[in-house]
Amino acid sequence: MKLIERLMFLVIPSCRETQKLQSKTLDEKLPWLTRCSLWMHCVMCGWCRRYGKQLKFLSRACGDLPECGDFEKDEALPEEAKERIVRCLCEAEAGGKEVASADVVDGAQEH
Amino acid sequence: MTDTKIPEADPGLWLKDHGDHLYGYAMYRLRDKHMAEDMVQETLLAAWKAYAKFEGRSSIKTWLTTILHNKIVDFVRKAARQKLVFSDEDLDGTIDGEFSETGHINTEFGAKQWPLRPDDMAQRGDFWRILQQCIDHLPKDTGEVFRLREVDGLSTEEICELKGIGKNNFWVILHRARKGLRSCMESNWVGQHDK
Repeated sequence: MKLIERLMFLVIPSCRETQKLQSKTLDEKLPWLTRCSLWMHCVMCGWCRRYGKQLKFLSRACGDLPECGDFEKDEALPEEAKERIVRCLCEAEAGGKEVASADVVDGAQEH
Repeated sequence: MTDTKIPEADPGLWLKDHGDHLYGYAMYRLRDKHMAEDMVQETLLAAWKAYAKFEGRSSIKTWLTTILHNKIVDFVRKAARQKLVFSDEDLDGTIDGEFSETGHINTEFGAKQWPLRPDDMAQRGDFWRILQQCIDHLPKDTGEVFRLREVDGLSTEEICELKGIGKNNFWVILHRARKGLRSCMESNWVGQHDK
């Protein structure tokens, strides 16, 4: 039994190594063999399985932060800035619209 | 084709309804009042000019935030071109006693069970606020690399080039940042709702 355990440690990464790989896999596709060893570790280790899920969730949440973030309470747009922006919009309206730029099609945000 | 009727463009209403959100996000990311105001103005102008392209597939708030996000990312791409130097100590990130000699986790340091499903957690009022605060509490340079990757969505290659760091360093920095963020959320968010 000890021998099997030792052999497994040679193939399966430690928790320390697994945590690094779980982060790296959020940035790039790991080689097939590495993914297999990561999977095997997580099958056996509930701590790392949970850690990986939480990391993925937080990564997704950070991507949603620009839209979902609770920014209004910290920083409200000052009234004088609002007035200036309204004036600017009115001037632009009077001057007519220019050609639309390419980066403003809805659903175009990349993550 | 959908039957969704797209309302008339009304930048004044967008400003009233979403101006504070846009400004707050710009401030969060740029930390400069005047620049943030300019970004909001440019966003509303660009949205108004391009409203014909708006297909109603997302809400106005999502659309405006996307335009602002793209503008901020363009700005950050130029402004972030500042090389960073990380010491080995910066890159370690392991807590004393966290792992055994064989590299396996000591259970007292293991990830706790979070009391709610992740999607339910994000619906709770102060989740986003605590997430913002936890990101802000990351060490300065580590936090900057983290924001470029996770909030701005820049690629690994782009960040490595902007910051003059190798890929291996980049992954270690992000590993450390994510670990710190997870731990901060566990202490400050999960702790509050752990009943």
